[in-house]
Amino acid sequence: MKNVLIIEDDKLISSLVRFRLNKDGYNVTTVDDGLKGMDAIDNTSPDLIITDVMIPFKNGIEIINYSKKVNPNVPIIVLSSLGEEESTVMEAFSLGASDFVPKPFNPNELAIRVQRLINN
Amino acid sequence: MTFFALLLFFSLQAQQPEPEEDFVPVPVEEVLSKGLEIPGVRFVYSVSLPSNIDASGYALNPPSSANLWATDTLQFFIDAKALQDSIYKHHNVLGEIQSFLFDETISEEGLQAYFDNLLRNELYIIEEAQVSEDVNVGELIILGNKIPFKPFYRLKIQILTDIRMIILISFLTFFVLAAIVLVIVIFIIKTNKRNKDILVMRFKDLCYEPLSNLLFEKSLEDIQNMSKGDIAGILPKNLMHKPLFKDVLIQEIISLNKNMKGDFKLKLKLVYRKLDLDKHTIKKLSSKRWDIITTGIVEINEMDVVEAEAKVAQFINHENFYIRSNAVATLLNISSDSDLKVLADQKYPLSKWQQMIYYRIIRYTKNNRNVSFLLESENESVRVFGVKLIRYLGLVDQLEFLNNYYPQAGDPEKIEILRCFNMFGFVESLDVIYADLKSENKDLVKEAVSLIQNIGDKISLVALFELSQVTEDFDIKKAAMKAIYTLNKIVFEEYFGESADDWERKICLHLNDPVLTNV
Amino acid sequence: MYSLLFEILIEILGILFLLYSFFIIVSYLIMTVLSALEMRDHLRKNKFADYLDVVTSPVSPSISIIAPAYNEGLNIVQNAKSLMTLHYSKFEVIIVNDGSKDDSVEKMIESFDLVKTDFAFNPSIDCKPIRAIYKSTNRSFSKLTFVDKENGGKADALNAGINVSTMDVIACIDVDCILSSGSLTRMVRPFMEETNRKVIAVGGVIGVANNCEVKDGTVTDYRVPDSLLGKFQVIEYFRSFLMGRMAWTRINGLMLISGAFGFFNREIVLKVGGYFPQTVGEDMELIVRMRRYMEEEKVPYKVGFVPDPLCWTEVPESEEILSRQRNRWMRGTIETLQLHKKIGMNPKYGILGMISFPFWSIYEKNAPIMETIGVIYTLAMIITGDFSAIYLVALFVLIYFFSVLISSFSILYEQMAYNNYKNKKDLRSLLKIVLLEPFIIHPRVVWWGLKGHWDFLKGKGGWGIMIRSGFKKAVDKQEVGVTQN
Repeated sequence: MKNVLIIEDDKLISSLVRFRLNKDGYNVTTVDDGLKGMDAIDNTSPDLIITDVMIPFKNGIEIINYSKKVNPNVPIIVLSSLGEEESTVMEAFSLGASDFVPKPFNPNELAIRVQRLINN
Repeated sequence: MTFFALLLFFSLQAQQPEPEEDFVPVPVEEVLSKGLEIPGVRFVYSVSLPSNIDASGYALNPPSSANLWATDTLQFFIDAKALQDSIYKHHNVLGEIQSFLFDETISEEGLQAYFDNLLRNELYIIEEAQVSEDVNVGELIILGNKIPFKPFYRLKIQILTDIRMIILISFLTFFVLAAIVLVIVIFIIKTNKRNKDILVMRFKDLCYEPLSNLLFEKSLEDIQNMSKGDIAGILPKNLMHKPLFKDVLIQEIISLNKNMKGDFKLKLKLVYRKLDLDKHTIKKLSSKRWDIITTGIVEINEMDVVEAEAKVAQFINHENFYIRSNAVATLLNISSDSDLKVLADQKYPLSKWQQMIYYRIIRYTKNNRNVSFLLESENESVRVFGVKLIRYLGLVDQLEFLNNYYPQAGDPEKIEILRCFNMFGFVESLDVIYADLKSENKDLVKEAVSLIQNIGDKISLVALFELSQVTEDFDIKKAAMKAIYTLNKIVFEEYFGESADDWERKICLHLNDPVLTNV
Repeated sequence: MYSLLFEILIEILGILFLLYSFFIIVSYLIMTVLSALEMRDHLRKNKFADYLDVVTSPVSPSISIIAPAYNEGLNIVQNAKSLMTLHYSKFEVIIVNDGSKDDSVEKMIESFDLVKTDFAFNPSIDCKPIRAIYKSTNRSFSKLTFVDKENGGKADALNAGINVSTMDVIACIDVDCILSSGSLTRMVRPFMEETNRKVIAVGGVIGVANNCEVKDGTVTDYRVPDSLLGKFQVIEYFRSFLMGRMAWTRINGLMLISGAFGFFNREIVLKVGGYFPQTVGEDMELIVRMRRYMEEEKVPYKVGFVPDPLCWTEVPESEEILSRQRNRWMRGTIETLQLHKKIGMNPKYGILGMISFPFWSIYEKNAPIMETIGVIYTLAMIITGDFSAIYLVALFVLIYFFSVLISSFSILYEQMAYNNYKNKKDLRSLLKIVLLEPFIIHPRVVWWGLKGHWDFLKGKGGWGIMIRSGFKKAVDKQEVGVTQN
């Protein structure tokens, strides 16, 4: 079973995404801030990471940086809120984010992206 | 405790009863006829004598009218009495002795009362020998013992002590009461808040599973075909009637609605309506608390409760900033009014915060962006916002209108219009703009210079040069010189290359600095 | 006769102390209620604010951050970097090197590819000569301006920064402060929100960063400091920010916003001539002068306050540094009140003249003196065996309980509003300090305050004569500046 890590401070969204991904048979861990996220990257060795850009204590960019250092092969999907500056998106990609999903998003679509990235 | 015991002690002291028998009354005649003086009391003897009698030998003053002879004021009663006796003896007329207290006539009773007062306050002390010659010494001692010892200043201190007591007691009481009230209030608030937080957390946990089920397991048609009871059956039992649970559920639905796309949005709205949560939302509008009303308005906005439009409309000129701003934002969002009339009718000035919110809504949701009503609004800040919208949204068809309107516009509008012209590089005639270079308003001048810098011509150089020489403001001078520099470097060198003026030299250096041109 | 006069004098003094304490207690009770109301409203308002929008909106005001630095070579580069990463779109960072004797300039030049420029600006506020203005050749540091000037003190450095600044709002910040990345959006909100009044300044809360865990400009774990003085300052900061300033904001009577984290309307700052470098209380003095100017011009205005925790700083834990700080604060207060004595009890100046100013004169300024006299008085009564001493002892007991009450409330406030200090052990140790503070720390604070009074009388700072004569108008400072230079 593949591990997916979700770093998102809105609990409802993370539980919803977890619900959706559980259905596809993934083992999902959710954490609500950047520091816990880094711990989880070390401890659960996820096969894919979904992270929000604006999270407490760290931002998504730093999570990408950290994850790429620990294991450069883990794909990362970045969620972002409306009104996010373009530069963040550019930065996320330049650091090696695999995909970028702007909020509002469609969970089914997200599930498809997860599947595609994990199977690659 | 000791403190209160002390207090009791003090109050007992203070309330010690005043002894009533503190002096022995003495008839005033008795004292006067002994030839003693009472301080402040004087006497005048007057008598009417037949006109043939000359009484000047009696130390009486000749009459001014009605044959009334009178003495000067006399210090001793017995002097007046002696004169009266003498007149009576010789002329058989009695006359009258009038008493005066500080030059005012006083009746006998009044005199007695005054005298009693003197005695009571020990301002007049009858010497032993004068009280009565036949009272014996033993009785006097007993009499003396009846008068308690009381020094003069002791009395005042007692009063002061009392005032202090009163202050201390009253403010202790006040403090204790206030502290108790505060503690109780804080305690209640804190407990309520904690209980509420725990409940909200629990409710949130309870919401997510059924919502996920509805969103992922059911199609839109499935939900459409479900009754209120069916959906409520998925949700935790016995909670649907709780207002707090409804609030939490609405919040979660709104939060999901913001973050989800596609038919998830439709599903969420359907669930919201099927559960009659829209009725719960509309009920909030009649609350007395501004934040609840505002929450209701925000919910109407997020969930597109169009039927509440009329109710929200009554809040658009509400005195509370948050109610007002959110009501307007909601109407901009849900109403079919594409002319932004709700904005044009605003009575309060638009703050930047409101402009930010309205701009976002207009930009992302309105297809038809007709700002002409805004430009004709009676509210200046609305007109200014209208001009800003033209610039932000690129409504070039309005530029012609602005061009005609410009001469009669107020300064804040002119500044925005100039920015607008600058953005689109549009202006029909620079002449009106040159006129504004002479304005007192620094921002307007700077904006005009900035426009000329972009679209100016040869004539502009002269106007700008003139401005740079006339102005005493550094920023304007800098702007004018920068404009000349941008328009024509050769002319700039001609004008300022050799300038001896300190400011001009500095600005020249600034404009020629390659690092600064990037900024 | 003498004993009579003496007795009466003693009685009058006793009543005065009673009244003084009474009014202190009443004022603090009122402040508690006012601040509670303001805090409630603020928390409710926060529910309806979308701060993300502020970052990108074209309507948001532009901000010049001005951070003076003196011998900060150790951290200056890191601090400048973190200032530039704040979440906001239209802003510039102006670091003013106030004639540091260390390698600040070299470090800055090296780290940010700075070069000297011929930046032309209007020296509308007098300040010490500027040696050079640097900009970066690297476009990713285009927000940064580095000003190198001769040493002239913090106010003078800020004035230089104000001269160079170009934006709508200026943010005066201590360079060693830790700012949360969302601080700018939250602090400009009062500027953007007001409809009918001009917002001239907005103050923020300063948190005690000692012992807290800080990661990338945000405090991640709140811990109270280990030392007594550190813990005391945590409580004191709660009291002054969460209770005092909230209450003053409620009635628009705020007279002081912290010099370490204050936002100002640039236009008004320029109109009144910037900071007044000849006082040690430049932050308070500027606000009073700006308010005075608005009152004299009869323009409706407001001084805002944002109680969200956005800025943290290390507070001094050494007794020596703290005593100097308090001495300076006291002198600053006295000097400001002196400079603007004209507005005291003057109805023309509204709440500023009738409430804020008298309050500061009676309580903040004279509290140490009154307390000392009170203690001496009580001791004298006890020694002479006069039994009114019991009153006064009772009064002291009362005031003690009252101060404990107020301090506990301020901790409760923090718990209700933010709940940052979550550790139960920390809370217990704070409560212990609340109980001990009146005995072991307060006397020292009083002593430092008295020393401040003494130093003011001695004319420390050398500007005594001018400060004693005061300003005739709010903009007088400019004339003073001209004649001094």
